[in-house]
Amino acid sequence: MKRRVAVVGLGVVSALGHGRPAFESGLRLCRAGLSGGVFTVYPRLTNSGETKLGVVPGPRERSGSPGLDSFARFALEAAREAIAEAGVASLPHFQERAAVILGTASGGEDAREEAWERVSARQSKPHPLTVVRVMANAAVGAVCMAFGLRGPAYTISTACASSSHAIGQAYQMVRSGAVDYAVTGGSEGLPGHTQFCAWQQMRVLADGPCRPFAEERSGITLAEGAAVLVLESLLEAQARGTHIYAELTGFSMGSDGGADWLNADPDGMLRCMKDALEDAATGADELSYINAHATGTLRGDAAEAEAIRRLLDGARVMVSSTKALHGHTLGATGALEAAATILGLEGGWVPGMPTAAPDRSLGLDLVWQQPGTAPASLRGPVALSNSFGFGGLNAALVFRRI
Amino acid sequence: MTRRVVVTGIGCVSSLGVGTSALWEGLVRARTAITPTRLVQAGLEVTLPAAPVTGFVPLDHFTADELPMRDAFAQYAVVAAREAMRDAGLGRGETIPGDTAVVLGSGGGGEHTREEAAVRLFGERKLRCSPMLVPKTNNQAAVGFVSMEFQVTGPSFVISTGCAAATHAIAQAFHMIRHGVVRRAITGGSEAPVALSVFQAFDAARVLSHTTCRPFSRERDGMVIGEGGGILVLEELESARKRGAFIYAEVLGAGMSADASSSVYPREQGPAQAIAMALREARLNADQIDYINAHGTGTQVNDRVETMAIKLAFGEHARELTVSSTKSLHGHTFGGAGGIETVATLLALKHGVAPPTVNYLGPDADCDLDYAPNDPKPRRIDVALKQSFAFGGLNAVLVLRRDVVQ
Repeated sequence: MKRRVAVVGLGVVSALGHGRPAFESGLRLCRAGLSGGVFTVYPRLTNSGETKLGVVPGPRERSGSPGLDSFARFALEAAREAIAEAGVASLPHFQERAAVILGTASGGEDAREEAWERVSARQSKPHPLTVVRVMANAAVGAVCMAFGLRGPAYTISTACASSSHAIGQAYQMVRSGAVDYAVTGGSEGLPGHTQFCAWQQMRVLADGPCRPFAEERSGITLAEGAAVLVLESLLEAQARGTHIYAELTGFSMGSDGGADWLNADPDGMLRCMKDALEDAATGADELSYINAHATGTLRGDAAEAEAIRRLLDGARVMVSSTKALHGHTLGATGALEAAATILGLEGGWVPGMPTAAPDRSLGLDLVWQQPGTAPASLRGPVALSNSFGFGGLNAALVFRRI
Repeated sequence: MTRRVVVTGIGCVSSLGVGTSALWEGLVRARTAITPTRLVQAGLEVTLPAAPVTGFVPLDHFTADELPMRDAFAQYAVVAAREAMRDAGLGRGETIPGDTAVVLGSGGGGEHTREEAAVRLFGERKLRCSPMLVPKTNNQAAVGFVSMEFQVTGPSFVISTGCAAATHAIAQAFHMIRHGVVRRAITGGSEAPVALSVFQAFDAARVLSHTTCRPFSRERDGMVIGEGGGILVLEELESARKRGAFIYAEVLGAGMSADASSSVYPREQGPAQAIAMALREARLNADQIDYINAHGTGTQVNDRVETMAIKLAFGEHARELTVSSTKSLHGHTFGGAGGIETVATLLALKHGVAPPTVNYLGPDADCDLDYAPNDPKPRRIDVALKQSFAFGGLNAVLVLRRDVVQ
């Protein structure tokens, strides 16, 4: 017997600010949180050009939690917001019956860098807390400890698909009854010097604003942040009368299997979206919005556009990539975009992308918005959120308005 | 309706050698691979006991063109997966692409590659990094290569929960088959942490032994880092039977829990809860378990708390169990540990021998169970447990039964 799964809590930390309200208002007003703070973050680099970053506002120094790297602090902050909003912390079985499944691509990059700085530049030992700050499971551990959660708890690390994979696993566990609640999503700090340097060498970083699906798109804008969802069985959520953002109705994950390592394969993306809609028992005709993975690269966006065109087969569905606003947060991006999709679905609006000349060859119904103006309205009940990672690892989530 | 899940193939690369027979040879001959290991990088030097993989020649397994994209942790996963698939009698093209999952564990991903890049940037102050650094060091690299190798298009992901990663991964793969999401899975984990930066970070945390790994023994003084990978092929029982595959064991249950107490100091309640959860799912009583392949890292605190957890979960029956830590032979391979050690557990079930805990000097007040000290212990093993615990208090336990009982 499969149970239906509701999203009952949402917490966000992103370049758009701290907290879900800041995220929502940034999206509604289409105000990008991407800035040119590269030299502050990477003092050792001198060749960063016009590269922008999505930096979480506020002091960069860690405060009050010396054992936690940025990715773990962001996750904890987002989890606090989501759990408080869901009103689950005081429920009698929450601590035993909640899973904690979060995604991250890199874990604690700050601590990893700090260790190299100490060892290599100053010939001293790494900090004793290096291991527990670097480890990818630090965020999950911190959330379990903060709320006394003792159920199944683990981290998924599949690059850009990490947190969509995590949400999908959590969804399947609540659906099957393995647990009654799940705290899920993902977080990421900014990459360290070496990883950032490698991103530059890959020649995929945008040399101006991040403009997914636009004619003059030039690449990715790396960013940091976290989003956490609280999932609960729909019946239970309705019974206790809590606020329900949306129902999570479908999930699919798959691999391109044998495709090119760096260039996504439209066949794998299409298969993944189709399987997710099938899992949700939803036809493509019911779909009203797709939050695309689209990172802003020439080839990646074109491949996804092809997959979406083939999925829709002429049907008109609004498509946007909110990476234009919050940047590409790698292991957290699936969760931020799930949050954006849910907020739009619930409020009846579509997160748009700052106006740019669209790439007409893509053949999509793209949503552009003049920053500061009201968003386009969303009428249909169903939306899809895509995530595709290096190595051809794909994920798609389907949400339905209650 | 849940389905029954069996293991039909195993593969391994470890410090005891390439292949599962080298692993088993090393275990039953009580021949530890731990050796003083000197690592030099950018003018820095560390010598510590470790268990590196030796006798593994990358060019025996990959072409010169393939190697630059593959960090050692991904190489170990692919080579172990090849052996496991061969062992299961499944070649390339013999799986149904969308009906197979690849779920692997890794704690650190491409540590060697990451270290080389850091040496260049921080040590030599060169401002160029390889563009392949990101995809090569990411944890999912191993899964990507394994899914490409066998053209798997089903669910593919990586769990990264440090020392418990591979056991968590096997638990997920088991549940996916059990609930009908896929029919087969390639699962386990790999790690290549014999790198200066990893040694330094763990040494700074004061968890590494400067002598050797002697789990559950008096005078134990820490863990010893090893490397390698262990992979299983899991399959739905009916499909395994239909093709007449050899069945190593049935996976009956998996338990997962969090301590929710401290990131460094484990508590016995969390692991005991995971054991209870795994037994409940397996519909077995505690007294039906014969052998536990322990997490047994060799640190004072882990081995004490693990022994307490076993007593808490098993009560009087704890005295009837044989509990051993093969980490004393192949080192602690972090995200790969659950893979290699589950392979060891399956071989223990197959041969009716509990592999030993070596370097054992005698009991201490905290650790007083039967740890198969120093010599392999032939005994009846019908049902075995594999347990893994990670920093951050994240626990995973598997229940494996040799015979498929009606």
